[in-house]
Amino acid sequence: MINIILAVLFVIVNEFYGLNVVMVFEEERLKKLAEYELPKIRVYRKRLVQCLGFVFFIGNSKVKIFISVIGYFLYKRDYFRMIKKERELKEAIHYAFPIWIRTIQCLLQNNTVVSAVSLSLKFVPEVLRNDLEYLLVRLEAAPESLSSYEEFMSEHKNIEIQKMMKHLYRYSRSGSKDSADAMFRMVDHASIWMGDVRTEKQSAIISSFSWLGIIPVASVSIFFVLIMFFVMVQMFEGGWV
Amino acid sequence: MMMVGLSLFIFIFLYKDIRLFVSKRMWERMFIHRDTKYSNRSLLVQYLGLTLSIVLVSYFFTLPFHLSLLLGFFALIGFTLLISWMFVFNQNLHDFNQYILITSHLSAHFRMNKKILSSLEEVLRVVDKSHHELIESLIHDAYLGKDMVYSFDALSSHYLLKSMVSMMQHAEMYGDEEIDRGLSLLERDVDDLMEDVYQFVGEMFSFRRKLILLVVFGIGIALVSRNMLRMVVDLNLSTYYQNTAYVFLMSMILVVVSAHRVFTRGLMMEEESL
Repeated sequence: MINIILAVLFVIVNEFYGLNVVMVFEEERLKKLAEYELPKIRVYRKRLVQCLGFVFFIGNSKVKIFISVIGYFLYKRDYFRMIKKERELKEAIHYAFPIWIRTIQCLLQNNTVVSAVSLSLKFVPEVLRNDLEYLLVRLEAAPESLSSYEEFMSEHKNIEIQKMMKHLYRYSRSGSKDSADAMFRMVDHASIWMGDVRTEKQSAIISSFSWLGIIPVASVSIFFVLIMFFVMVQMFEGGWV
Repeated sequence: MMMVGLSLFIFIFLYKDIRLFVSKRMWERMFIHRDTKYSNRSLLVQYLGLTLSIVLVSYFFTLPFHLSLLLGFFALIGFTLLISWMFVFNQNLHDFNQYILITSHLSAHFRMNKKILSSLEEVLRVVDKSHHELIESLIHDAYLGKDMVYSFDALSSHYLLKSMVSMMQHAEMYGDEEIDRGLSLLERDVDDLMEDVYQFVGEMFSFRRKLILLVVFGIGIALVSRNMLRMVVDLNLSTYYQNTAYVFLMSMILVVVSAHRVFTRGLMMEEESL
């Protein structure tokens, strides 16, 4: 009886103060990624705690252990989803960035860095668009600021991007001979990068079919076990003696 | 009898699709593009040979005739699927080859003419008949002075083509002394792309070969095990054994068919389209 009273009390208290207690994500990068989903996640977690808490109070010890394990994964569901989303975003950026830098290199033949960035927005991969628009605003305000280049997509901590942006900065600041050298270094780097990401993607496609290789091996094993079982049954049909 | 009845029902149900797949038009479309080093015909013959062998091997597994017939029937369904997949692969490969041909010729002629319109007219001479209509519509757009970057979307929205056309358009409108250098960079990328895609196609074939090898080994091992156990107990008349052997051989046909599914994947990555 006392358990039911505690459970009802927990539900009532959670209804009023649950949202204040519920944590969403500790990591700032995940909070930023789930910006528009945060209120929804908060409400989901509050309701989850309410339901599981109620069952936890009225259940026996086995139910409590079960609820704790299931509850952990349900509570962390959005966290795992965001981690996956973050990984996919990083992969997409890693693929899209050399494409953009190639466009920039072509445009740099006849433009300054700022106007090349501006012109490149016409055919930039969607995953880079917002960051590039922000970069353009910063470059237009202060074209010679190193921080604009350094802070571009710095939250993704991609060393390749940071290296390439430094090449771009050096290109924008250097004289004609130095700029040609910087340009060639960028070209070489971007070519290798592009080749690597493409090959990785192609290998991933082939790997996605590799589970088929298990079927022949598993089939022959199962076939052998089944007919072996049949043979054993036939042999001992009349008993052991 | 029930199995045979079911097979006939499925066959009647799929009759129209099967007829379409093996129609003369489909075959003509499949083998029309002969500019590739990969032969669909040899793949189809290999598939037929292999599945026919599996059906014949069912005799050594002492399967009853109706189950062997059923295996043959499913191999036939697999064959129709294979034809459609190989058609997709062939079309992808042909489109890719034409894409490479168009970009390299467009770039080469633009270096000389410095005009997109006249470069496209030169491209029209070398391109395959299947792409004539498309190039003609591009020529028409260039003649009308439309934004060619968007017009070329009808051919491909690959980033290399977009960058190339954008540079050409810019050079045509405002002049660009460094255009040759920019085009050289893109040509190098086109070469890299071609190399990567052909390597990818090679990997597809290698993957298929490995799977088929596994199937052959699997059947061999199963046959040896079966013959070994037959010496202890007579398996031939048992329905339990026959059904097990049938499901085993069926799964092998399924793997042989599925091994070709890899060819349906696009050759150019979606991420490279803008």
